[in-house]
Amino acid sequence: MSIPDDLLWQAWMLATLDARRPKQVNLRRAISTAYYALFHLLTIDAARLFVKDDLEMASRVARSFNHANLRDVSNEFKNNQLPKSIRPPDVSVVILPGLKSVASSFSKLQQARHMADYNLSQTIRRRVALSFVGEAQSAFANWLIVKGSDQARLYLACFSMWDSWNKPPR
Amino acid sequence: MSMKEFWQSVRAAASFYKYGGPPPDAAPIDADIIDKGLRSSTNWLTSRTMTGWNETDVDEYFTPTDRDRLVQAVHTFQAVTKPLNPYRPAPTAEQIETARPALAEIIHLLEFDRYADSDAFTTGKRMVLALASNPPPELAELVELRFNTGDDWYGDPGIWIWGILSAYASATDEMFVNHTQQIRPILDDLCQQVDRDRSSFISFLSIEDLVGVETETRAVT
Repeated sequence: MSIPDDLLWQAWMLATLDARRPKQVNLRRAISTAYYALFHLLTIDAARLFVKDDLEMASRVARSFNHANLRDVSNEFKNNQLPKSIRPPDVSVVILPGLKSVASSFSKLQQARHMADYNLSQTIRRRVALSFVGEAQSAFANWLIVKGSDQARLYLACFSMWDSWNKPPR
Repeated sequence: MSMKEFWQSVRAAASFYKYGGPPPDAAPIDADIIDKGLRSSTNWLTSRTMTGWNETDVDEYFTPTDRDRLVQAVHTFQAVTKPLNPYRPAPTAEQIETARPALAEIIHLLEFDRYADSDAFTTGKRMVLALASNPPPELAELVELRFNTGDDWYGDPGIWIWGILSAYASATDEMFVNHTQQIRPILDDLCQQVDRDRSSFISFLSIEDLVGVETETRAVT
């Protein structure tokens, strides 16, 4: 299994570890791990746009992606939008439903991860954690369907091109 | 804006209702709590309680039946408060007895235990109404929705939607997750149609998780 798959499995294990009296730390780590499972799934594929064979280099490229940019890109795609500079003029874009769903899940899981990792005043329920793991599972399934599409490659390319592409066209 | 203002005005008058917990754990606000709260003072008996009321706004948020109930209750309340000084009302016992059930009805219809703030009400209520008019079969095990709004981690506007699933749908972890995976995209799409400017953050619980709601369940609408 790959690291993202292992992380997703680990997230499920943490969320279901102690059904009767779950420990907050396990539930928080479950949500955070579900987010990182999706984050790594996408950034590994984004790195492979540039580097196919050199795994060490691909790993370095994957580490260069920025969480905030991924969230901004995901928000654009989930709202049926492309970055400004590559947006077709006078034509509305229709993002593949599966890709929109992945993008939406990414944004939501990132928000959930912030809550789980930093907002210690909020008690997390086991089923809330489970539902976020389920969201990551859905995102994995959807990504498998759409990852070969041009739109998915464009989505991945935006991770590194966001700052220059999110400007009005010249 | 006026629906939000109206919601806030009535919410201020119903200050006796404390949420009892952050969303989604707000305590149910039932007829007894409302009646007891309204009997504890008459500060609510002023025309200011209906600030923001605009009858033309109501259709967007209520079924025809609930709309008629709300309009009727507001008219009754306003008829009582009209002759009173809004800042120093000195109501008679008869005026109080007429206005109290009217305001109780309004509070009941505005569902402060489901909508934590006025933005949550205007977005959430439209979502609930849309679902009620054309209920998708995937939502059969969704018992209730609760809403609150705020800023997300980046400071952008968000709405937190809490879906409460039936005990049947929550019988096992796998069943629970399976149901959430079917319901979430429907709520997500609907929220985007209703309020495009807010990111939706959807979480799910079982009815068994809610404080004080072990046996009684309520429909989504």
